[in-house]
Amino acid sequence: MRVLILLLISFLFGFATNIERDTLENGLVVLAVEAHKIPVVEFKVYVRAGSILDPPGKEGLANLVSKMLIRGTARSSYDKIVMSIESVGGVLTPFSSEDYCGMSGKVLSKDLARIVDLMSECLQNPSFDTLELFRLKRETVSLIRAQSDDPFSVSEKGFRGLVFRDHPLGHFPVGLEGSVSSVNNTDVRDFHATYYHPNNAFLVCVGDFSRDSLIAVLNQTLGQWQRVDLPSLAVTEPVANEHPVGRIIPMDISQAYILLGNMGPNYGALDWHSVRVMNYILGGGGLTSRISGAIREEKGLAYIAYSYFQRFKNGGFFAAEVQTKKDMVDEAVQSLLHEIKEIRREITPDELDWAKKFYTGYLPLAYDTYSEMADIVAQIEIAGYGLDYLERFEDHINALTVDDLKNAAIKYLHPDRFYLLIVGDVKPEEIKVEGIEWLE
Amino acid sequence: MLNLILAIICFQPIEVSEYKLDNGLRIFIYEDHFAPVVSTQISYRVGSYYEPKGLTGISHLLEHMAFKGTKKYGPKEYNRIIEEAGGYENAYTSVDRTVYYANLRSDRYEIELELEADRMQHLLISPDEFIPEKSVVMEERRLRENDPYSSLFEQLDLVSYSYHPYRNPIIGFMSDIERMMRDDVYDWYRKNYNPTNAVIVLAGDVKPDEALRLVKKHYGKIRGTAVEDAEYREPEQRGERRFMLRKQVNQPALGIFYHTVPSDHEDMFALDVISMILSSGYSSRFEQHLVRTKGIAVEVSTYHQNLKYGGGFTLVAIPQTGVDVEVLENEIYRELDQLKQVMVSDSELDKAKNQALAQAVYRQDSPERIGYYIGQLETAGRSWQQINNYPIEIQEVSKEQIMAVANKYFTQDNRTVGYLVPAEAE
Repeated sequence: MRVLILLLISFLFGFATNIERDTLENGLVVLAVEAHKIPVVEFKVYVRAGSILDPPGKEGLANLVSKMLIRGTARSSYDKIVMSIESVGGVLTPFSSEDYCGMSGKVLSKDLARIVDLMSECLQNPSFDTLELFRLKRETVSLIRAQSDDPFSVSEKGFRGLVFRDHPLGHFPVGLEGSVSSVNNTDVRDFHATYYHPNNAFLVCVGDFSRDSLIAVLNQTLGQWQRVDLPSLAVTEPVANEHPVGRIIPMDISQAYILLGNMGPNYGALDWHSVRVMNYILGGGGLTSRISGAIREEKGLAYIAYSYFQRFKNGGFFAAEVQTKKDMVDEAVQSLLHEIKEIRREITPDELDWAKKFYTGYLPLAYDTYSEMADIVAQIEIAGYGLDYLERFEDHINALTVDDLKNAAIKYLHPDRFYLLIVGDVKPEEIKVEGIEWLE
Repeated sequence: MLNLILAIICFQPIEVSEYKLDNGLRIFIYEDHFAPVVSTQISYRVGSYYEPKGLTGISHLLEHMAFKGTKKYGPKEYNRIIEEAGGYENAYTSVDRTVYYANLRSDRYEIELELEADRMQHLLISPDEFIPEKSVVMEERRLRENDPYSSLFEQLDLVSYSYHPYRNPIIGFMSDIERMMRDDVYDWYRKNYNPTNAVIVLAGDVKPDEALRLVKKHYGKIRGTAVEDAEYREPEQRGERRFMLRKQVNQPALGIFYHTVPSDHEDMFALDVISMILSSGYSSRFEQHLVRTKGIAVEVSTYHQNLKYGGGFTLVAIPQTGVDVEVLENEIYRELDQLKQVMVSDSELDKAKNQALAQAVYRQDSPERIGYYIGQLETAGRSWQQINNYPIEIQEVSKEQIMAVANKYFTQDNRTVGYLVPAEAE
């Protein structure tokens, strides 16, 4: 057997489900959860090769590399690869995000060996055919243009650019029109050669298989993937502004799309549970949260009004988001700022108690399907929570105090140096907040 | 062919227990004990299809007001109770039904049954809450107007149906929402929300005996009144219809609609197979021919929808930068003509059938999703058995049928074509 199981840790979480973590000899981490309700297996391969590694001027490169994985290998053409998987009703889709790129797949369990073999081939030996890259770039540029007609997309991309500027988190994985066009075959090959290695990746596998048969299949396929020394991933942390900054992106629409927020914690933050529960009370908890209560329920200003934190390996951000009629834009901005200031001042024991009941009660709903299990297992691996995370989850939540949440609010919400992005037919002077530096 | 046989073995039919109370309330219970979770879903047979002229969007506005308090529970209390129980709740309105649902741990799904029984009988629709909620719905409507593709879809329905209520947007027209009064909504509630006009689905870690006892406890004494159904039939379309929609966009788009058949018609299976052959997956014809090889489309998707009183085959396409919409439109017709003139290959047909079967198995990952289909079918006057029959019916579709159906429905006279184009610069 070529693949040596160096380490096997296993934990029982929630309802009768085992999560097993193996590391293959070549460094590939395998997280497997056996479940036998339906004859289906879900796979996800995560490679630490996300858009945060896009070189300046080549924004969108990581995404193109991941999309090229299925577009031809040393052994098979694009047609053959997709026919092989789709002819048995399977699904194999590349994905890209800021930290990770990779592929996700789903098949009937009888086709497990087929999909693992294909994924292995795509990850190790993509051919990066010049014509296919040309086609993919053309599709991607057209897609970016189409996204520029959707005010949601424009506002969320605009906010990223405003907060993170030239930092690689300042662009979405899909990249920019100009930078995607400039990517060439050498860029794609070099990026793949640098980052696509088993010791820079992990595999999640959930569903109807036996661990022994899975390992046997991996031996023949992903176990053969060559380990190499990785370059150090020296990504700098983004630096925040010292005063409020705003930008308006003009668009001829009947509403203003507003994002207001600041930089936030990365995956390493130890107080994440406090942050998460605090945000639930502020704007993450649906119609009962404070932001939705004030903006939607009381004033009827908007259909969508909420807040969230997004974390990455390096950096993160907080955003509160509202879409409202043009003439109500100032009132909406004022309301958001008011709620952000208020939660730094006071959180009631009653609110905390209610949020705790939600999080602890909701736990089994968070992974009651194979696909949700695959996602939660990946999250645990990415954040480094440890395999017993779900076992410990309730204790973490129940231990939180009002002061923990208030401290998180004071540490991570900055109403004195926020970023404000507005898409719509709005002028800076309509926003009656002092001290905003408006950027073009 | 071997793959097909193996795939058929993977599909286990679902089992559902069904009951009916004296007041007409129908109950469907689908057991899945994988996780300790129950999805409770209640559907009322009311939606945009049933709305009178001038009151479009009233079912959706009522759905919003259903969260605004009863005699017993104040506004937002419903949400709060479910959240405190660690549950997830939501509601949606469609063409032919309005659905409220909550997913909760299986030891507490009675909470949702009790809240829904209260909602069925005692909504206040208070005037104080009505005004701000109407503005929320108007903001929701504006969001759709600002999304160029939503606008294209709305216009496509409006032009494809000249008379039938399927032409109306579910959210309603702005002037109707604006004009709507509290009493209109209250009357609509009184008329439509009662046990006879409702279906309850419980899906997940639930025992039928206990569930039935709980449903009887909370709903058994509510009086039921039958709500008259109305059957509208769209007159046959006899000639192509075309429209232009001008918006501030960089990228144009194209929508094509062909009238097809209602959900009880046998042609729907062949039409679904065609939809798969054209646009399901990277190996589909549109993806391979129009997106990749010819490089003229960013995306071409197809969608075949069968409702109780009519159906439609919709194609939506976005051209790649610099490609004329006309060019893409003609290439789409060329692909449809292929289906009319050349028999699909065995392997292509097998692939579509395998995809349909596998998707039927994948769906069983989520009891909530199975519950969704049970509620949808049973509200539309069809049986949950369709969930089991569907993959079998798909296997019966032949190459000859595909060719015949393509020739029957994909005709110039039967189509409506809409272009989304950039507004002229001022």
